[in-house]
Amino acid sequence: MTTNETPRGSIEISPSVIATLASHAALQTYGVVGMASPNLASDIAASLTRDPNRGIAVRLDGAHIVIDVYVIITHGTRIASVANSLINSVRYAVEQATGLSVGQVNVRVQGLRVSKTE
Amino acid sequence: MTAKAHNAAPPPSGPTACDGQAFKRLVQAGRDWLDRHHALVNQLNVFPVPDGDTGTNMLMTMRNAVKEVEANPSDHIGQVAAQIAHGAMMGSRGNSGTILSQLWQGFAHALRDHKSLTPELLARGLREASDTAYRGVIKPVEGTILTVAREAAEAAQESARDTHDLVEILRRVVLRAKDALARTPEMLPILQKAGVVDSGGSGLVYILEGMLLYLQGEQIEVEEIIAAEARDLATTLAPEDELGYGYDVQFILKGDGLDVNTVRAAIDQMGWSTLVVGSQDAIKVHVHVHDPGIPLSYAVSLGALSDIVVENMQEQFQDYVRERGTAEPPAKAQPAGAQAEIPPIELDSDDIGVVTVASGEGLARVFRQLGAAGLVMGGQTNNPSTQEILDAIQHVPTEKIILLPNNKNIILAAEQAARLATDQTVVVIPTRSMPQGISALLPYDPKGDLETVAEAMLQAKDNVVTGEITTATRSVELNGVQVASGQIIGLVDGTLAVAGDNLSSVLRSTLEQMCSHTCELITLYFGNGIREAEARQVTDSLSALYPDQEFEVVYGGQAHYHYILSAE
Repeated sequence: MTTNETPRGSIEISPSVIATLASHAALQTYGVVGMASPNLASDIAASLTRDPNRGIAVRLDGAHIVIDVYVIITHGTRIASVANSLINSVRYAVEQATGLSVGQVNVRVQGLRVSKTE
Repeated sequence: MTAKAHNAAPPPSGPTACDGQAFKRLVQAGRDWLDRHHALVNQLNVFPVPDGDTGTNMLMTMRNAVKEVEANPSDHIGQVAAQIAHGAMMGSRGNSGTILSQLWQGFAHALRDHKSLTPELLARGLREASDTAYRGVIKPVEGTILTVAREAAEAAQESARDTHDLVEILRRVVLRAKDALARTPEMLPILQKAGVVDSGGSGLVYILEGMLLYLQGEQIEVEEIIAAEARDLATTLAPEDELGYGYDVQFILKGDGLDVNTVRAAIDQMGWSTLVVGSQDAIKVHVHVHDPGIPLSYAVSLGALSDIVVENMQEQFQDYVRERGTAEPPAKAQPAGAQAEIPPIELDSDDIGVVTVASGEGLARVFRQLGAAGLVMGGQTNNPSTQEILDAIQHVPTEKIILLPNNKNIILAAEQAARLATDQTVVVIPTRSMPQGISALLPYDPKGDLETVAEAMLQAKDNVVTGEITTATRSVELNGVQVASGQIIGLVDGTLAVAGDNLSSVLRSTLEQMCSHTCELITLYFGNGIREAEARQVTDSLSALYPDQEFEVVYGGQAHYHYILSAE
């Protein structure tokens, strides 16, 4: 739970909210074709999911929010470029919506997807 | 960036087909037209992250694509396109650059077995480009470069049915792409809110339009681009040494069992702006030196050299100056308000540089003396913009930056600028006053570890109590202090503490509340409305009341604040 004290009351933001924001931003990032569960590589197939927090781990490191994003990237893109865009988008989306500062966004590329025609 | 390609003859093949070499020049024209407009594209960038680099990212991607294929003599369009796609992918940067590289891959895939480009093939290529790009994301967002690419493909398919003229088809493609671009704000609300069209889409339009212009026989001038980039050039061309600009030396060293770290350390000793990267077999070296012979002789003792480039930077600078019609060398690190007699701090690229906000020229001088490499002028009533802060950050030639906003209203803009400075690691120390900034600078060590130095500076900022003396602009009651408009007020660490009609009595009471005789050093920074003699007189009378404290009087030059006090 991330708490922000203001003179007129406190604002608490649950990690799952942050995860949802991060997930949304991740899925809009070009080159990301799926979220992956951190542990189960076999889960890759079911990458389109209704669980909004899938593939996202949010934790607090002191005062900083650290977001781990587990993704599947489309084959044929430069992974480093996609990952960099992903970091920027997730950070921006979370900071914009919550006003909190994001310490780190770590991208874990769990898989590549080769599209059918190639 | 070269315009040479445009001096070449127009495409040799007729307007109904285009071979590999002609296509190469077409793509070059697309790149150059984007080059000319990339700054505009940058300005449009609001989605998905408004970091203003879409145009640059797309241009880098295109440059790499063209570079990859430059030496390819093949007439086979499939081979040329495949190589362009490969170059685009390897050089892709950012979201839009990645999409662009995917477009190229789809296009190249459609052309792979063909020798020359026919109208049908152009249509199919654009179709497949768009399809491939759409497949690269789960939730394709309409109103972006994807939309522009898709509509361009549709236009090509429609046109290919009733004409075989490549120029005519491309003309319609560009028209439709522009039309789609103009409609992007209707599809993506954030664009409408910002009052812009999609930046990636506009980049794609420029590339297509550049190709069309070339086919129509127009030559793309690149002069304007040079002017547009002149500002960036000004910093890179700033003299880095009193001996002048020296030489830019680049080469690739090939050998067995090379140790990159040893080579880097050795090269680093020889000059500045060192960049040494590579593996055991090959190392790429870039360094600025006064004698290009030194690094070359050193390297040749380790292995074989290739791709040697030696450029005279003095000449480059003089050419630059001639073109710009000015004899003055560009200022380094934009020392706004800095005094010439303080030499700028010398920093290596892996040092820590400090950028700070100063509210007066005297304060700027103090900051510079303490080692600040970049200064932004601004304060209470004229907060600098994020862009101004960002410019100052980017003018400092170090990768690690510590940023001191020195005003609570500037902290936010500073943090924003820090985020936008993607090429540098920027740490913002949230200093809320000029004295806090000065105090924070005391433990600054350019050679230290960024985290350690930042931590020390963060601690140091609280070693000081700040007092500010100004005139109230409206009547107010705050913290139990009644103030009438026009009265002199004293603030302690940003909180209203004292109000009165007499400057020296307010000064005395403020000081009383600041340190209560426990501090050691009291500094008065007098503003631009106060004469030095007056400030000294005031200080003398104060020092009589504080026999155990040391006093310093410094010209601050700040507006609105008669005095800024610091007690430490």
